[in-house]
Parts: sequence; structure tokens; C-alpha cells
Amino acid sequence: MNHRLPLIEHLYGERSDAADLQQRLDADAEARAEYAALSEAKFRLDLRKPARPDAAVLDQIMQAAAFGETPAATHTSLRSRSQRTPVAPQRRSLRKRMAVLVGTLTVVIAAVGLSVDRTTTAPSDTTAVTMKVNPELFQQAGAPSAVAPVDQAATAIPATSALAWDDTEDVIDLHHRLKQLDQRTQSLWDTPAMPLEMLPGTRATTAPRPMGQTGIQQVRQQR
Amino acid sequence: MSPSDEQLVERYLEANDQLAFRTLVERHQERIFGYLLGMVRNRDIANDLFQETFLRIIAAMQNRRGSYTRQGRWLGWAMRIARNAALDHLRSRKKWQDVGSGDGDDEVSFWDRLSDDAPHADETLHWDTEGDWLETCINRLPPEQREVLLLRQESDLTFREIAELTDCSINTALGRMRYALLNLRRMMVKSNRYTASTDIA
Repeated sequence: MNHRLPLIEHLYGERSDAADLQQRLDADAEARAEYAALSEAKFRLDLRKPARPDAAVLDQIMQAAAFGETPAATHTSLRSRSQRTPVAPQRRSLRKRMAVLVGTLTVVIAAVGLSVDRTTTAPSDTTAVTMKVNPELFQQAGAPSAVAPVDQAATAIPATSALAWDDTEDVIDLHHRLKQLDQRTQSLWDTPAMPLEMLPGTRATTAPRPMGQTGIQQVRQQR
Repeated sequence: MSPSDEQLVERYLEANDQLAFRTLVERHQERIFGYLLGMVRNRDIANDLFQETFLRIIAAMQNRRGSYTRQGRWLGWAMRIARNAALDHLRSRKKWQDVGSGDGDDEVSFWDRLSDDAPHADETLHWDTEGDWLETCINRLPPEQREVLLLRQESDLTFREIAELTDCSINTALGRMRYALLNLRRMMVKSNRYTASTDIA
């Protein structure tokens, strides 16, 4: 063992025997000089400011400690891209893959269906519908005469934002039927109650009546 | 009286006491980060390694890897993890540096030409503070001496713990520390930055 090595232990307080140190220094002048040199270097080192990690790193560590995060998950978030090591892709089970596939297909089909529906219902005419405003109407309504005529360009409403009439034949036909039914019900609504056989367009024979001789004879003839 | 490291670990593991774990991290952050920074000499990488060290510590303490046996001094155990993280990084960087330039020049690689241990001419101009100058001197120490110096000076490990950690005898650890301090002293003398009146041969 090098007889100078205990000086290091004395220097860092790992040997508390002061008498032993004094004896070593008194016995050897070179050891005394070396101890002074070592003390000088240690003194300089002790003056260094301690380095601390960034606060964000501490937060990440505490987050991992709280939620039991896996090392790879948090570690890669702070690592610079150049330092990251390639990560092997996670293998998923067949069921999960199928679920993802079905979900994706559903979304695609829904999106395609919506786009087709929009293209069929949207008006083909994409030109702008222009609202012409007559300034005389403003004057008649008591509006100040100083109101300038509204710029036609400013009031132009694009066709896409205007309401489009649903003028397909089925809808028109349905509309007519509803209109007729409405007229009929409205005409009957306020009329007093009357027997069914008295309603217009109904035959008198439709009403119930006691079966007499003539009726029996008609049944026999039919048979 | 402040609780010991082992008590804080116990509180964290048994009662999920986050405050206890934070106390533990804050208590040792300078020891672990100072060592890592001295080893890799890059603050960003040291931050990464510090985070990785504590993530490994958390995983081990929660028995995911089962290396924490709740025996011995916690700091020594944590420093082993930090050292492994630092060595992993240095090995990976060396692998990167070992890749040749491909030009057939086997004697001197491209990376060797980039830098050396000698101080650059402009390096001395940027020694604004005593700390900067000292950091440069420490970085110029041989790796074994630098590591022992960092483990003793920054991490506050005993020489016995350093010997166990670095897998060497205690005399080897003491010898490396002695040479590290003497080399630093020589650098001080060369740069006229020493104050002691005594000198050694």
C-alpha cells in the first residue's frame, strides 16, 4: 500500500485519527508538501457550484413516479431526436387489428355516403342569386331618403347559401295530395253532422237498412 | 430530524407518498446530476440521463425489474444505476465514433481529427469564471481519475463505495483520486491559478 494514500482518506474525513495524520506529516516533508497540494486542489473543487437538472426533468420524473409511467414513454418525450434509439413497433392482437379495420371502414363508408348525398341534393347551379333592392320601398316604409341604394354586389348571396327548392316529382305529387286532402277536411270541418249516405259522392245503398222482401229477392237472384 | 433515504423510500412504496419521493429526488439531484454532467460533459444529455436514471429507479423500486432489495445505502444503489446509464450512453457514442469514414484511412479516423484533449487556443479566452476553467481541467483528466473524482467530490460516495461501484480495490480508488488531485494541481500551477505557497516536486 502506498504510504501516501491515507492522506487522501484524511483529506476527505474518512479517517478521523488526527494524531495519525500529524505523525505522517511530521515524519515526511514530501508528504507534507503533497498534502498541502491536495488540500489546495480540493479547496478549489469545493468552491464549484453544484449543478442541478432542469425543472422540467424533475416534473417528468415526479409524473412518472405518481402514475407509474413506463420508462420508455416519458424518456423519449424529452430526448432529442438525434439521441433517440429506434423503437420496435408494438404488436397488436388480431382482435384489435380487426376492430381498428372495421372502425376505419365504417368511417370511410359514412364519409362517402355523406358526400354522395350532398352532391345529389345540392343545386347544380352555382351562380350567385342576386337580391335586387328597390330604394323606393325604403322611402315608402319611412326610411330616411339619404339611404343610398344598396349595392347589388354587396347583397349578392351565393347560391350555395340560399335555400334550394325540393322540386322533384314525387315531392310535388305528395304536396298536391296533401293539399287536396287538406281542402276536403277543411270543407267538412265546419259542417254539421249528417248521415254518411247524405255525404256527396256516396250512394244511398251503402247505408244500413232492414232487409225487406226486395232485399231477400235480390239475394236470391244473385245466388 | 429529517427522515433517512430508506424511510423516504418506504413511505413512497408503502403509502405512495409522492412528497417523500420528491424529497428523495431533491436531496440527491445534485449528487447524481453532477456526476452525470461530469461524465458526459453535455447538459442536455445529462438531463436525459438523469431522467432515465430515475425512471429506472422507479421501475426497480416498484419491483418491475426487481433489482432493488431495500438493502444497503440507497444513494450507492442509485449511483450504480446512474453509472450504468452514463456508460450505456458513452458506449453507444463510442460505437458511433468507431464507425469509420469509409475512405480507407484506418490509422486516423475522421472523428479523431475533429478534436483532441489539448486545450484549444480560443478555449482559454472563454474561461470567464473559475468554474469554467476548473470544468475544463476536470474534463482533461484521464477517464478513470475523472470518474473517481466525480463520485467522491460530486456524489459524496466513500472510497469504499467507489471501489465497489467501479469494481476495483479501495487502494486503486484512492490512487486514482490522488493522481486526479495532483494533476489538477499541476494544471493550476501551469495557469498561475494556485495560491498555496508550498510546491511539490
